Amino acid sequence: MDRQKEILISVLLFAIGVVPLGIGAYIWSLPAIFIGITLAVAVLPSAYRLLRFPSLRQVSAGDVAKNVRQPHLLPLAGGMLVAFSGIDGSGKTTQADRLVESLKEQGVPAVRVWARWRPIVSYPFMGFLYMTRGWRRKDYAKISIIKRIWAYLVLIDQCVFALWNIWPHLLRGRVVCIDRYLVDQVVELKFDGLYNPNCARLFSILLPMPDETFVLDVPVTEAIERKDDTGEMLDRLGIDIDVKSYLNRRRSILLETATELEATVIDTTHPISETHAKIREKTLRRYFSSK
Amino acid sequence: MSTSPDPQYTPATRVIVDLVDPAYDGGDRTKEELDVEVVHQALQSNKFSRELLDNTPYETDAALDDRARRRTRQKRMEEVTSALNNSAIQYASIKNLRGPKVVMSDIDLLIPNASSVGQAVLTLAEADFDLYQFRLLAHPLKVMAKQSPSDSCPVDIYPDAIWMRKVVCDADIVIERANDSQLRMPALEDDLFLVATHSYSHLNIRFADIYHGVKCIASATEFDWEYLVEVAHQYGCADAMSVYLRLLDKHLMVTERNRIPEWVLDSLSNGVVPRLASRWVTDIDYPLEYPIEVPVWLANIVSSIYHSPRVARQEGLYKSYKDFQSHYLSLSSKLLLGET
Repeated sequence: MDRQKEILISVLLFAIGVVPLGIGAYIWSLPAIFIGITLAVAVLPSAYRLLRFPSLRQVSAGDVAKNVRQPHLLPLAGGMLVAFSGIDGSGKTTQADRLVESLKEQGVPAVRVWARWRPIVSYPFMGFLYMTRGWRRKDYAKISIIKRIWAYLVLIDQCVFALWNIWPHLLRGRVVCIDRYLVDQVVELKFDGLYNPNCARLFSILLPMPDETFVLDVPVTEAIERKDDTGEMLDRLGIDIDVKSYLNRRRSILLETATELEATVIDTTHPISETHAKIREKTLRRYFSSK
Repeated sequence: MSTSPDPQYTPATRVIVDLVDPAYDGGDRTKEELDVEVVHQALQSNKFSRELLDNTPYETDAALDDRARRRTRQKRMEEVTSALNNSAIQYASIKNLRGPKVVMSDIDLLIPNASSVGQAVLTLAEADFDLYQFRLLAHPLKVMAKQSPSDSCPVDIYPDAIWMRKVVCDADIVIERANDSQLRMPALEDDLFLVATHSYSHLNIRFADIYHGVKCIASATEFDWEYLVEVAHQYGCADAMSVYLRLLDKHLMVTERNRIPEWVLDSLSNGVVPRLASRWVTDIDYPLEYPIEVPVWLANIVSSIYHSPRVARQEGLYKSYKDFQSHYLSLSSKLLLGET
């Protein structure tokens, strides 16, 4: 239908709608009011849309899922947090990247965030201890007061990090695939002997909790083959332990924590695509269900 | 064999009824020479396959096309339902007309749970379906899935028992009462109710719709008329049911089957609008020519006054507003574009 005809019909329909409304107000005639209101709220909008828009539009599965996840007036509440944890070389970054790609293929907005703990608020405190005592993190457990407060400082750091790097994505309805998160933080604290169960409870209150946590498990020997820079990191942090023992200990704490937190443990000794398929299936099924 | 003039159906409709319903005795009247095109047109507009014309004077090669379409749909139906069943999705496949060799274009799935809609959409997207949404007055979760732009057998997901946005019953109850066969067919009463209200909303009652009712009643050990009447009154569909059941009753009478109980028809005629609807059916000129077109003043304008306030008692104000608008989108579509 050409534009002129479309305009003409719209104007005519509008006129037909307005006249009965006017008559209805003047003579208090119920039928006229009904006709007027009907034309104004139902016939005119319907006819206009009918003429103006094509009847169908192509959408992605992700577009539909957004409607599934946002059934009410909360357009910002549709995000989802997927956490990847594991020892170095377990394939966290690879799997997180692949998952982001898969989600995007289905039209689901997704982003990968690398969230290894970085000192922000705790940095001056660490600097002070290093300058005055020459202590690094491995030494903090020696003093009980530091042992008690350290986890709180880490929590504040994580809250600041989440405020800038996680919440904005979640509020925009994105799926945040987070590379290292709470499980890794707990492992870190346990490894350094700085774990505080009271503070750990606050983590779950103050930080966005993952909808899915995947703990990627791999034997230490294979992890060392895949990633050989762990030794350098240990030297940098002044941790006097060989790489194999370090990873073995981390792995055992990791698996213990995964059980406590009911995370999904995935054996990543299988081909990358096989592991990805498992993660993808579980994440997509979860995302496409309403919250 | 009777040869007296049949007052019920026009010649073209008689041919169709005779082909479809073994209980119909059209006698010599069905052997009348009719124009081949007229018979083909009548079959198609009533949703029946031209395969029914095999071994008759009206036989045509076009039957092969209809057969192919039916098979495509059947195959698609099996694939889709088995994928949904494997994903443990709660649904019912609705508007599956029960007549012989009915040609249906799409597959309609009622999935009232939002999570299940998400799962179903994901399942279809993974099976290489493209997804489409309707722009006019559409429910945000109403989705159509096609495997190609020209796909003749799309899968429609209905998140509620709605025709456009006209709410006709409680979808959760339909799902609850549906059987657990591969196709998840609704209970017979719901099946009849959904087809009846759908055809009324689209202003077009075809013989395939009527014969669907015949099969539903015949398949039931004890057809629950009370349930049907209650739902019709509860959701303001008594006008639609009255029109449909009176037409169905005429066919039952012609084929000497058990008629619809008198009290059902009486009960569905209670109220001004249902009474108008009943009077309209009663006053239709004979012989009947299927498909029967329902006038817009009845199914759209008058029905909106009767239907929407009753829906407002069951559902929220927003749904009722959309429901009300649906009647007039249908009306506008009919008046402006000539289609419903």
